[in-house]
Amino acid sequence: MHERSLLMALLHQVHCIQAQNGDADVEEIAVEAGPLSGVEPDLLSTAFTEFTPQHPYARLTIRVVPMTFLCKSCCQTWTMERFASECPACLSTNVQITGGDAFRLLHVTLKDS
Amino acid sequence: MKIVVNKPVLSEQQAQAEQLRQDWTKQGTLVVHLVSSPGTGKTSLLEATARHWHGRYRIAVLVGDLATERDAERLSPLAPTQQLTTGGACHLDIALIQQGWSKLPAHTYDFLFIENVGNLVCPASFDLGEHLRVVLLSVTEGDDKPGKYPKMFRTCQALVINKIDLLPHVPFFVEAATRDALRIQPELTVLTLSAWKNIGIEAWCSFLESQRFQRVIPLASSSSIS
Repeated sequence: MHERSLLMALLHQVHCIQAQNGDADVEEIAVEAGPLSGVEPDLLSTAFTEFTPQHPYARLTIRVVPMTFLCKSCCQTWTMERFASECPACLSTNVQITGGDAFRLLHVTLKDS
Repeated sequence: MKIVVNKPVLSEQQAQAEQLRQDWTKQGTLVVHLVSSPGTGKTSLLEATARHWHGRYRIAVLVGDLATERDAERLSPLAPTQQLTTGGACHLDIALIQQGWSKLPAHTYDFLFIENVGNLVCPASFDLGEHLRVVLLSVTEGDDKPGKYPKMFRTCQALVINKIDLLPHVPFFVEAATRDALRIQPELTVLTLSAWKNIGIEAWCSFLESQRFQRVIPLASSSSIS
């Protein structure tokens, strides 16, 4: 379950942000994950619950975004929930993924002291 | 207080991988990362590669497994090899690669091979500093694997279909697997071979040599090229 490794990297970033802000408690960690990000949201949530006793008040918000595509043959753009290799307009396979393959930390909300 | 970050979760690891890639490039070392499901023949392909070159190039191997040092024991007679035992983790990461690299006896290689843990899911998310990521399929698996694992195939530059000596005995269609893979990654180079029967190894080794000349040699410092 590589979500655990991803979670450790995520928490490292969060700890750095905490350290830069007086070790304030974390209220929310917001991330974005697309279908080709390699992140299964349910597994990430489970890992977060199991491995974050040091953040008892924090919640993890996962924004699941669709995949976005550009057809390099006819310039059509579209979104889908899963991987598509063919342009729906011209059926070309000269397709570029323009979004939905990333796992990003969007923001961290810290408790006001 | 809301602090906007908006950067990849693995940005620090990616920066470390990029630094290693630049170091290896300067040293004239092409780094080839092999990924596949278990039993596809990654170790056999490395054995066949080392035997084919027979000392023509300086090669080294970092080999990952959940447990045991069996792969390193097979490869050590052929090339300097470091076993990376993940202790149950399903993939290699950049920290393990840095550790393994530091333990190799020299740092002057023409080719460094990284053999990941057998797994077509988790290794796809982790940049190990490689120049070339190669996914292996064997004909004893389904020819519909590429479509089932798009993330992995999307991140690779080459597909090796291994064990083709078994094609007369199994319902695997090379054209179907190739078509499926190219739908996902149109720029894949596809090679078919049998590491066990030494079929197609010359073409595979020529491919690696040409990749080194394209990706590494033009950028390497002149003292490190052999």
